[in-house]
Amino acid sequence: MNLYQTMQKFLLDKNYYLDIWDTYIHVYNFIDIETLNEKLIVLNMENFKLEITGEDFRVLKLTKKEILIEGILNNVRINR
Amino acid sequence: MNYLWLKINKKYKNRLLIKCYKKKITVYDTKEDNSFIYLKISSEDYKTFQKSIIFKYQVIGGCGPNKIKSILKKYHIFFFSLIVVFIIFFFLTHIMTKVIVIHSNKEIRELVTKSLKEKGIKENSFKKSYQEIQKIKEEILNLYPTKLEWLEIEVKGMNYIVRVEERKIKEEEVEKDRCNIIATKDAIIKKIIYSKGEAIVEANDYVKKGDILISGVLKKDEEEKGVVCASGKVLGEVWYKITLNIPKVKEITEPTGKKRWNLKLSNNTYNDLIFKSRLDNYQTEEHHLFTLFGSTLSFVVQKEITKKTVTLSNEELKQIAEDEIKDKLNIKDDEDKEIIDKKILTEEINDDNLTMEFFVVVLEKISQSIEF
Repeated sequence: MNLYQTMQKFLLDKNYYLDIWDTYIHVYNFIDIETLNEKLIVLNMENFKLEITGEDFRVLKLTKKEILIEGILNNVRINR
Repeated sequence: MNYLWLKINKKYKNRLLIKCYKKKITVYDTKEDNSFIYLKISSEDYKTFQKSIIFKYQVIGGCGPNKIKSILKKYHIFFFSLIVVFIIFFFLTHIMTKVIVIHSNKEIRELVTKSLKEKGIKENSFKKSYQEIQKIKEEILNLYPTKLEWLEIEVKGMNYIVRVEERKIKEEEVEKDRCNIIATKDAIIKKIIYSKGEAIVEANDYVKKGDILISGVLKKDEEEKGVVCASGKVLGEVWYKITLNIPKVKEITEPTGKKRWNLKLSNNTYNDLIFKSRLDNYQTEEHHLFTLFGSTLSFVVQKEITKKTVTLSNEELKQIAEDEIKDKLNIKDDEDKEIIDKKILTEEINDDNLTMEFFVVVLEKISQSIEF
C-alpha cells in the first residue's frame, strides 16, 4: 500500500485538480458534497469550497474522491 | 467485476447521490429519463446500498458475469437442449456404426474386415479423415499383395462401404506326362472329342465306370510307339431312376392390402418388435434405420396376408416334378448335362400326395483324366 500511495503521489502530485470542458467538469480529491442539485453544486475541498453554478447538472460518475458532472456551466468559484 | 443497474424515482436523485458519496458507494454511470434515475454500481457496493439507502429502488439488470449468470439461469432449459443437440449432432457426424465389405468370397471379406479392425476402421468408432483412410488402404494392400488387387473405402452416412477386388494369380498348369481318360459312370458313349491320345471306344459303346475311354499310350500294329497325356471330353448317356413325392395341396398366401408399421430392436440378447403387433398373419419388410453400440433399430412394415390351400392341377404337378428332377440331377449348374428322355415308371395317388417313379436318360460328361 505504501508503494501504491507513493506511486499515486508521484503521478498525481497535486492535492486536488479540476478539469473543465465545455459541458463537463471533473473534480479530483474533494472531501465532501455540501450541495447537489440541478443548478448548484458545492464541494468541500481541503482548504476551500468549490461552487459550481449552471443549469441541468447531472452527475455522471461519483467515487470517494472524484466526481464527473455534465451540464451547462455558468460559474466556477473558489471560496477560501 | 459485477455491476448492477438500479432504478430510483428521480425526485430522490440529489439526496441519493449525496448518500452514495457519504456511504462510499461508487457510481460508475448514471442515466435519466423523465421519471427515474438509473445508477450503475458494483455488486459489492450493492450490499452497502441495501443496508443504507431507504428510498425505493428496483434492480433492473446486471453487467458482466452477473448478467451472463442471470441469462443462463433464465434460459437454462434452452441452453441445456442446445448442448444436447450439439452432442447428438457431433455423434451422428463423427461416429461410424457399420463396416460393410462387399465381395463374393467370404475369406476375402473376413480378411479385409480383420485388417480394417486392426487399423481402427470398425463399428462404433470415430470417423477417420480422408488422409488416414488413404493411408490405411495403402497399408492393407501392401500387407496382402498376392490376395488383394484393389481396395476402395467409401464413407456413406454412418457406414464405411469397402469394395475389394481379389488378385487372382493363375497357377501354371503342370503338364503331366502320361494320363488316360477314364469313365466316371456307366454309360453309353454318344460323343468323343479328343486332342491327344488314342480313343479306345466308339459312339454307342457301353462302358462301365473306370473303363479307359482315351488312352495315353500310342500304339501302332500292337507296338507301343509313344506315351502322352490324353486330353479330351466324352459325353455319354446315363440312366437314372428317380422317385418323387409331390404334395397335391399347396398353401398359398394372398395379401389383404392392410399394412401396419412397427419398430424392431435387435442385439445380442434381444431380437423382437418394440410394439405389440396388431395383425395375426402378416409378412414383414424390414428397413434398417441405424446401428449403435451393437443394437440395431429397424423400421418394420407388416402386410397382412390370408392363407388358403389350393389343389394343384396336373400341369402344375408336372412342372414341379420337372423342376425337382433337374435339381436332383444338377442340370442347371452343368452346361454339359441335359435330359434326353424321361418316362414315368409308376404313379401312385392318394389324398395328399402324388408319388411318381421316373426313368430319366441324361446326356452328360463322363470322362476324367487320370495319371498312370
